[in-house]
Order: sequence, then C-alpha cells, then structure tokens
Amino acid sequence: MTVALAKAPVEAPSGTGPRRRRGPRIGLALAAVWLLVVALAVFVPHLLAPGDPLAGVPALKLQPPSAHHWWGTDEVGRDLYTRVVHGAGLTMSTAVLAVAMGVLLGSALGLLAGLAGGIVDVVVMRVVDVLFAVPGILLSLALITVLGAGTAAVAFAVSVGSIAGIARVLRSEVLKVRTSPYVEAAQVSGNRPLRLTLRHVLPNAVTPLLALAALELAAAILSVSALGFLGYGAQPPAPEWGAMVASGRDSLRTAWWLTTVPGLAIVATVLAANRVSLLGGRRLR
Amino acid sequence: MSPVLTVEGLAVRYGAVEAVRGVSFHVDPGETVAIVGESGSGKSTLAHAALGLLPAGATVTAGRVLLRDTDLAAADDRELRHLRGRTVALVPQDPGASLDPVMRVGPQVAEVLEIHGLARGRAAALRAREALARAGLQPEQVADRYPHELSGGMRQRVLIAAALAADPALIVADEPTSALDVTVQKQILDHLTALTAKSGTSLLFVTHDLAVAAERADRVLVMRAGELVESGHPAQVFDAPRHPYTRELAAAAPGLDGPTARAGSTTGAPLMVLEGIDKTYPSRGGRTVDRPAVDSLDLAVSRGRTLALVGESGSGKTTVGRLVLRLLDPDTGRILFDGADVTSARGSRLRALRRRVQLVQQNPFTALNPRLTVEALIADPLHAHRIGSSADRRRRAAELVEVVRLPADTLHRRAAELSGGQRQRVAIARAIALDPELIVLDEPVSALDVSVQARILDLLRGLQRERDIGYLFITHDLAVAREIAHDVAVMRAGRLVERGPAATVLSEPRDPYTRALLDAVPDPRRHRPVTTPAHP
Repeated sequence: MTVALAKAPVEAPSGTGPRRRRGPRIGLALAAVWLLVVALAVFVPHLLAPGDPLAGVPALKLQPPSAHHWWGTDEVGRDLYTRVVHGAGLTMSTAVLAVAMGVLLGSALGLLAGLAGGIVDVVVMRVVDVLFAVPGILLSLALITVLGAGTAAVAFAVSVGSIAGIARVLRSEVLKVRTSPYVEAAQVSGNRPLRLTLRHVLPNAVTPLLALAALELAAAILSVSALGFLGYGAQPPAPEWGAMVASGRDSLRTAWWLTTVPGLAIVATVLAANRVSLLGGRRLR
Repeated sequence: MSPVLTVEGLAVRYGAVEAVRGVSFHVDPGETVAIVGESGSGKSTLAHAALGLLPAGATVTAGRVLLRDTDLAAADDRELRHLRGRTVALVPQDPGASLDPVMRVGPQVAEVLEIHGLARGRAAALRAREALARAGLQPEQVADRYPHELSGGMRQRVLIAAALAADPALIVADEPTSALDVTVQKQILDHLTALTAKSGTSLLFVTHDLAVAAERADRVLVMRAGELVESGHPAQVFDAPRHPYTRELAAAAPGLDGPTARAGSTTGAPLMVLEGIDKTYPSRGGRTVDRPAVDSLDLAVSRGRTLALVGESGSGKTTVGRLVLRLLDPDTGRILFDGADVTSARGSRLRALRRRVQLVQQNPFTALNPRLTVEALIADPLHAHRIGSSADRRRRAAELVEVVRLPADTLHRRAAELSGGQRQRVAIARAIALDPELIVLDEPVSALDVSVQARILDLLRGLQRERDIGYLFITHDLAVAREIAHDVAVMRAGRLVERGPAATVLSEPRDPYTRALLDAVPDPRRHRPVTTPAHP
C-alpha cells in the first residue's frame, strides 16, 4: 500500500501506479518500422525493388545471396528480393480483403443476433458455435475445394474463419449497448429502429471490434500464406509469400534462402501486426 | 484524554490539483464528527488520509496526520497495517463493490481478527458471528451466505461488522448510506451511532448530505474546494451558518419543514391515465412464485402538474414509468393518453405518442450517447421525427441550450466534458425539444449534489410554468417530492398505499408506510441527544 503522507513532498511509489513505465519499447518500434516497410512494398514496390519480379535469367539460377542479388535467385534465375517485395502486395491485399469480409459478415450476424434476440439469436449463435468448432484452416480448405483456387476464393475462405469471433464480440457489445439508458432515451425520442441501430447502438459497439479486427489481420496473413503454401492462392508465376516458401522446398538442401527469406518475411509481418494491434486494443479498452 | 485523530494543516495534491488545503481538525474519543461537502470538495481525500490510504498519485505537501500518537507519515507499511482495522477501520461507500464476491460473509469478518492475531479458527468465527449480531444481522442466517445473496442494507451491515470486529478506536465511514433507501439508511445510521455510543468508539463520518450530518454528528465540518469553511455544533452550523457556502448548502438541503413548495392547484383534466395496470416480470427457473412488479394500479397525471411517485427500490415505481413511456407492455389494464387508448399503440401511433411523452433518466452519466455532441444530442428527437431542416434543428438546439441555462459553448462538446448537473440539463433540453405534454422524470436529481439538485428542480418548475408540461416525477426522496410535487402517490410492493395532494400526504400521512418513510428522512433539527465527549 502506498504511504504518501510526509512533511516534504513525496512521490507515491511507482509500483502501485496505473502502469509502470519500462524502458523504451524497442519491440514496438521495430514492429512499426517493419509494417511501414511492408506498406511501402504493397503500395510502391518499384521504389524498393525496381526490377521485374517475373523476369528471370536462367543462367543465374539458384545464386546464393550476394551484393548483386541481395537474397539470391530462384530456380529460374529470378531475383528473390524483388519477388518478396512484389509478393507483399498479393499476400497483404488478400489478408486485408479476408479481414474486411470477415468483419462485414461477422458483424452482420452479430448485429442480427444482438438486436433481434429470441429465436433468431439462438439460431445465429448456434451456427457461430459450429463455425468455432471447426478448425479455421480446415474450413478454409473445404471452402476452397468448393470455390476453386484464386485470390478472391482464398480471401473468402480465410474470412469465414474470423466470422465467428467477430459475431460473438459484436453481439455481446450490442446486447450491452442496447440496454443502456441512452439507447432507451433515443427510443423514447422516437428514433426508428434503423436509425436507432446506426446512430446510437452501432457506433458505441464497434470499438472492441476494431481491436479484434487488427488482431485478426495477423491471423489472416498466416492463413493466406498457408493456403498459398498449399497451392490454392495466387497461381505461378505470380509472387506470393506462401507459394514461394512451397516452391523453395524442392531445393531446400542446396538453396536455403528460397524458403528462409519469404518464411521470415511472413513471420516478421505476423509478429509485427500482432504487436501493433495489441497496443491498439489496449488503447481502445 | 488525547484525541484519537489529529490532522494538522494537512495539504494534499493530485498532480496540479490541490485537493485539500491546510485542513486542521481533531476527533476526540467517543465523538462523532461529520465532514460535509459536495463532490470534489476533498472530503473523501481527507478521510483516506486519516487511514493512511491515499491513492497513488496523491502527494502530501504540508501538515501531518496523527492517529493517537503515531504520525502516519513516519509509519512504515507494517505499522500502518497494524493500525488499520485495529485502531482505525473503514466503512466504505459502496457495499456492492467492497465485499469479496467469492468468500462467505462470516469468514470475511473473521479475517480482520485473524490478520491482527486477535483470534483464529473457531474462536475467530465465533467472534465474527458476534460482530454480525452487533451490526444487527442474524449470524446464523447470514454468516454462511455469499455477498450477492444479501441486500444492499445487509451488505452495509456486514461491512460495519467487519469494521467493528477488532474494536477500533476510530471508524471512518465514507458515505456509508448514500447507496441505500431512506428507511434502510435510517436503520443503518441508528445502529452505527448506537454502537459507537455504547463502545465509546469515535466516528468520522463523510457525507454530502448536510441534513444527515446535522442529525447525527456531535460536530460538523463543512468542506469546500479543499478548505474547511466552517465547523461547529450541528445546531449552529445548520440554523445559523456563518459561511455563505454553508448557508447555501443549508438552504439547498431539502427538508420536511415549512409549507410544501407547491399548493395543490385546481385539478386540470387528466392527461395520462393508468387503469387497473398489472405487470409481472417472468422469472427464470420459476422456483419462486412471481410477485407482480405492479399490482392493479390506477394513476392519473394532469397537464401542467407534477405527480410524485414515491417508493423504495423494488416498489415498482420505475416499472410504472416504463409502462407510461410504453417501453413495457402491461399484462392487463388500460393506458389512456389525452383520452385515447394507447395501451397497444404501435408503429406510427406509438411514434406520435413519443412526440408528446418524453423522459429524463436518473443517471446523467449514462443517459447521453457518448459519441454525440450536445448539439446532436438535443437535436436527435427532432431528427428522429424529421422536423425541420438541419439548419432549423441547429437553431433549435442553440435555443434549448439557452432555455436550460447552459453556456452556448457546450453545444459542440461531448457529454464526457460536462459535469453531472450540466449533463442533466442536456437531458432535460433533449426531453423538451419536441414540446412534449408529459415528461417522465425517473429520479432525475438523485445522482446530483444538493446545491445542483436545487437548481435542477428550480429549472424543472420554471419549465412547467412556461410550457404547461405534466410531470410524472419518480423519486425515493420525500424531501425532493415535497419540493416539486403538487400531488404525491406512495408505492409499496407494486401497490399504491396512499395518494393525494402533497401537502396532505406529507404532513398528515394516513398509511403507516408513508409515515415510516417520512420518519426516515433525516431531519437536521432532530439532533440526537448530544453526548458531549467526556473531557477528564
């Protein structure tokens, strides 16, 4: 317990403060810098890697990392650095699309369940329970078998994995906000149900959803890469991180960089996204 | 005998804010001292300083606190732990949040004894039961229960039992009854004062309610903005206040003397009529027989008049308000508004009704959408009913802000930037935006400080005069009802026990329940027999 009684001014011991300040947050800074680089790679890949990710020089195949080819070359002589940079756009846009679809579908379900209540709530939430029960990647694979390969299909398949979590969070928030006095006041003011939902319920319920969506992004990057690795995402020769790891396996013994570099890119991006979204989540709470 | 607690020139600050500025006072053995002040006056900081429990971030910049002979500043954590509970004990404000929810009540009281090594095991359990009995509970019924199985008043008694368990020399009670009904408040305070008188324990009692302080204390200290502005015998502080602020507080404190604020005028045509209303909430599980929340109720509110619906928590008064607003549907009975049956109005008929019947809620901190500016909040009903262009609505919001006497610059602020009183004014502006004929006011001032309370009631009376609005004023506080009501209806367990003009009901109550409610209202002029502490 704090003893803050003294004749001279005494600072309360920091141990009981709301949050103890530790040293500079190196991890967070690194994560932010990495995400910035990834963003550059997504929007202006030519700034980081002016070369063509698809053009290979067969004579220069499977070169180890060197001053000329920073991260070496692949089995048809394409520069790996250029391909990883250009691949960021495909992987990230698929992941973002997946999260966007997940948020849209999940919040529609959550809102429906939270507002309608009764039998609708029960049915929707049992469907969500089923979605939760099936492992996300298995669900995605099953969906892709039905939908066929391709970027949009992968995005949808991945989004289904995040629907359940988002629906649950939004439903609980909507239930909480819906019974709050200010929503009752808005109802007495004569707001129609649609306006009540859009103006008074939803804006006050989405905050935790934003934090969750940021977290889901990290998971989505991983899932998109996993599906790319299995060959369901962007088709060759388009550069995609997961697919690049997969194709590098063939020469794992001789050319380690082919799997290691895109693999590390995935790991770094997932960790960075996770770290930054955790911070956002804490802020929003 | 030396004082139990001595505070000398104490000054405490939170960052740049000076919460307490140079306060000195002392508490003698067996004495009851009340600290009175409004929110933010520094009274709680003072009470916590007496316990050596200032929160992190609080800094003592001057002065000292002596507990018996121990300087709390010089004491280390171990000494402080030894003092707390044994020499000084706290009865906290919120009985709901101050008990461990996963521990039975008996062991929680026994814990105090075990910590101080006064008793252990069975002996501690026995003494805990004794303490519960002394606090007016039946130990055999209570000791093995969890806090959530007890009512608010019972929980407060458990906290008193825990505070008394180790026979401390001083009990600090921080607003011990502000979360409780008046009749429960009276019982708890009666008990606390009787106990301290019997055992010679001193009581330092923090409250926002000058009437409670004046009724119970041997000495009253009035705090404002961190300073002690007045202290003295309650009779003197209340009847002949020296400081202008005390005078204001004494005047604002609603009491039960003098004529009722509003004489029953000619009865207007009834605006809202409830006939034979029953309402039972379906209970889950269904092991108990459902007790109706509202039981064959007849009620009428007239245009331009105030009907105060008075009762304790659980009496069904809020349910009546919700039925009137058509937020709930009655099981049986009829609701008539301006002659038309609106019992089952839906859709556009319901929306038409909502233009004419509005609501002001109890807690101004949760009644306003935190995302909207004051302007958007006030204009929301107009928007919902598609009245005027957006420029018209802005103009109207600006007018209304003036009507409820808020500064014009509040228009573009959000609720979080406003004080409780200001928020309640925004809620009132929102309620009158549509020029309604009836407003349901559900405990509109119970969350506010007394002086703010008096100003809000004043505003409501003015609005009623100008606009001829009928008020259904739901309150647990008879003194507030007396300030605003023309008529009073008293509810108990879902039934009306008494109704009539305010002057009659509040001065010559016919029903024993109304009389009990009236007796429970703290009366500053009914000072308890002064037990002047013995000065040998």
